[in-house]
Parts: sequence; C-alpha cells; structure tokens
Amino acid sequence: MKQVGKYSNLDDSELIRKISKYDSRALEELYDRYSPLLYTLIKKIVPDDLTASNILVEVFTIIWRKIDKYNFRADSPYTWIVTLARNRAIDSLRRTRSLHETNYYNDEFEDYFVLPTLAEPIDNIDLRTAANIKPSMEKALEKLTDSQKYVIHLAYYEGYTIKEIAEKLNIPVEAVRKKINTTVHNLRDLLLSG
Amino acid sequence: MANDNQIKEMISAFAAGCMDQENFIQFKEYLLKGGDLPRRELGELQNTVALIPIILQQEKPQAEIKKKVAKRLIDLQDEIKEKIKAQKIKETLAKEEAARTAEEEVHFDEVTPILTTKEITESIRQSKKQKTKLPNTINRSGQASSAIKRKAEHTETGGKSSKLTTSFLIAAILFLFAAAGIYLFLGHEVKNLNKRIASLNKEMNKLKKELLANKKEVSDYKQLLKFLMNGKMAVIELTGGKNYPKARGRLYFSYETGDGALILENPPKVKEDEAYQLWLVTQGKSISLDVLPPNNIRKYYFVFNIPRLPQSKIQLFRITNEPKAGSVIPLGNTLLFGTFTKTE
Repeated sequence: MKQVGKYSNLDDSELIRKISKYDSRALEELYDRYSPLLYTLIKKIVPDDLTASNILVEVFTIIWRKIDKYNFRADSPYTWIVTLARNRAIDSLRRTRSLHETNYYNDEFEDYFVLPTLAEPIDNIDLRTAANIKPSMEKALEKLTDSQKYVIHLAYYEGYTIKEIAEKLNIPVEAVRKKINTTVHNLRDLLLSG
Repeated sequence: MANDNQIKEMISAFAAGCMDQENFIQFKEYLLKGGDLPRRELGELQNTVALIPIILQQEKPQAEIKKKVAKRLIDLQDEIKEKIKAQKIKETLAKEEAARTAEEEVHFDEVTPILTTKEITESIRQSKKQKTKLPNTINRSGQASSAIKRKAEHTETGGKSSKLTTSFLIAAILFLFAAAGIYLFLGHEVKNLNKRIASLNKEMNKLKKELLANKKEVSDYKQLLKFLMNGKMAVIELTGGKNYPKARGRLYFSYETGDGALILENPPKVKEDEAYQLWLVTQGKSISLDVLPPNNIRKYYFVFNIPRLPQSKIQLFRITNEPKAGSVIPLGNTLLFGTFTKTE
C-alpha cells in the first residue's frame, strides 16, 4: 500500500514514463485516476454498460501493450488517454451502426486509427489540470450556440463524420466543415479568455 | 496544400475526430511527413476537444473491471516479456557497440607510443633519401674527384648508421605487424568466445523459461484437478466451426462459483496478433467471457465471472479469433461452439 502511495505523488507524465518501462503499479495508479472519467465517457458513447466495461478493459490493455508508441515529444497524457478511449469507443459504435464496416480490427488498424497522433508542440495537460479547467469548460460550452452544441455532440459523442452529419442534417458538407471549425475554435478561445 | 481557411477547417475536423476515413488518412500522412501546418494551433485544438468530457458527472466503474484489467495484463505477460527482452537486447547491443568502439580506440592508443605515425613517416623518408643517395655516390665514385672522395668517405661512415636505422625500422615494422596480427587474432578469439557466451546465456534462459513453464503447468494441472473435483459442474461440449472439423473443446462451468475451465484439443491456429475470445450468446446478444491468448504448452484456460444465467437463457458458447486486445462484439470466425449437454 505504501508503494501505491508513492505512485500517487507522481504526475501523469511520470506515470506514463514508468508504464513505458512496464511498471504495472504505475498502470494501476493510472487506472485509479482515469477510470471514472473514461468509463463515464465510454458509457456516453456506447449503448450499454457491459460494452462500456469491456471497452474500458480494452483501453487499459491498449495503453499497456502500446505504450511504446507514446510520443514523449508530444507529451499531453490527459489528451492522449482521453482521445484513445474516445477513439476506441467510437470505433466500436461505428461498427455496430454500420453493416458495411470493412476494416478488420487488428494491431495495424489500432495503431493507425485508434492510437492518437498528437501535434508537436502541445501543452502538457494532466488530469489535475483538466479538473482545474472544468468550470471554464462548462462556461465555454454554455456559451456555444445550440447548433454548435448539436454539431459537436454529433461529432464527438456519436461519432458521425462530417459527411454523415451533412447527410443527417441535410446540409452541404462545406457548411458542416465550417461549423465544426467555428465551434472548436470558439471553444478554444473561450477557454483561453475564461 | 490548401489555403489558410481550409487548413484551419482540416485541423479542427482532425482534432474533433470527425474526418471521413479518406481525408483522415491524407491528413495524417501529411502530418506525419512533416507537412507545413500550424502545429501549435492543432495541439491547442486537440487539448480543447479532449477537455469536452471533463464536464461529465463521473461514475466509478465496478471493482471487478479492475480485476479484469489485471487478469488481461497477466495474460499478456509473455508478449510484454518479449518486448522487454527486445528492449534489453537493443540496449545491450548499443552498449556493446559503444564499448567496442572505445576498446578499438584503446588499442590504437596503446600502439601509438611504440612509434608514432610521424616518426614512421620520417624514418621511411630518411631511408628513401639514403637509398636514392647511394646509387649517385657509386656512379660518381668513378670520376675520382677529391670532393667526391670526401663525400664517399662521409657516405661510408653515414652508411653504417643508416644500416642500423634501417634494421631498427625493419624490426619495428615487423614488430608492428606481429602486434597487429596478435591483436587481430586475439580480437577474433574474444569475439568467438563472446558469441559462445551469448549463445550459452540464450540456451540457459531458454531452459529457465521451460523450467518455469513446466512448474507453472504442474501447478495449473493441480488447480485444474482441484477445480474439476469441485461439486456440481455443467459441461459444455464444443465442436469445431465450419472450417475446423478437428477442433474440440470442453467448458466446465461451476454455477456455484461462476468460474469455468476450458480445455481445448486441436484448437485452430490464429495469427500472431490474434487471440481466442470466448463468448456467451444470450437472447441473440454475445457477451465476452474472456480473451485467451494461444498457448502451445497449455491446452486449458480458467475463465472467471461467467454470468450465472439459467441454462434455458443461454443459447450458445462460442470461440472466435479476435485481435489480442479482444473485441467488443465477435468479428472473427467461429472456431468452436457448443451448448449445455449435461451436468456432472
């Protein structure tokens, strides 16, 4: 138990470094920190609790197996972990939704489409920072227009692509592209100013 | 690539994860190949989008999910061990390479004090000078001029010391060749010995691994026997799927504990990045029971936390080939399947 206490003092980047040396206690600490957020996010995306639980197990398995793919030059552990969980859940949702899914889920697919590619440079965000930003994020999301909220919901939580959103809302693809662009930039600016 | 607005739209769509697959591939390739992009802005947008779910009211997952993660890590032990081994080999090779370079430098340093390159060049130059001078002296000696005589006398006295120098040079060069030969021979021998040591170490590790595997197998068998002797047990006979007629299996399932033991005979081979996944089918829905890595030594697996549904509600048990990390719904081929036959 003392050992776990020692790990709880480490920040997320330090934990990731330890996991990259296959330190299972570091992964346990990461699980304790992130599982409530990831479980909630995955549950919001996939249709049932059982699938959400299975995906949560998978996400931590992927972190463990693919930690060598983590790019320490683009070190933002919160963003990497949340994006990974979101990508995995959205992939599962898309497969359930589409009968024509032709991509076979294997290591190659996972590396390319599920593991996040973060930009260099990127600000380092960990869970603690994200929790501090939470009130500003709530305010920023509140300030979005209804159509912006709807489009970002369709894209982020329901996994629709720009083309699919355009078809669903019966509007041109260009309009959706612009709407996503405005929304994401607005959110960033509101966060920076808030 | 495109104008500023189009680029902004693309990085926003990429950050929001809503690009169509074709555009995603194009954009990702461009990003990975170092294409011209406002990367800082992309990073800011990726962080922004990832912050969207932070506002959700968080719910703690059930404790058993953590156990499942732990079990999955145990199942992945072999794969991770291989990765660690590969990492260590890489590090060792890098260290050896560095050490070898340093070693070569040391040998060169050791040779240098015997005779420096400058000294050797100078000696050779002098020796050449002597050699070219001597024929001239002989040619001119016929002319019998006193000056030449003096020169000839001088050459004669100088000749003695030159002979000494030449002998010394030849000895030094011979010594150098011998030293180089010994160095090369010893280096070769050392290399051979190192190779043999590495191969013996490899062999020893292999034997250790086998010993551990055997110990584990014995312990697993004991566990299996203990499990099978454990009260009332449902038995599910599994037969091979369409293309796997030789595959057989049996799933023992304890209603009392919710645990099971799966024994496989002639299980179909799966690809390197795949594993077996056991499913329970109820009301047309597949529930994943476990992901089982293929194992050449062990032919049985323990499966825990099987939902204790009434037999009438369980339509089928099936095993499919899935990626190592497992799938949420069965995507691979049905390798084995079966349902309740009897209770033991």
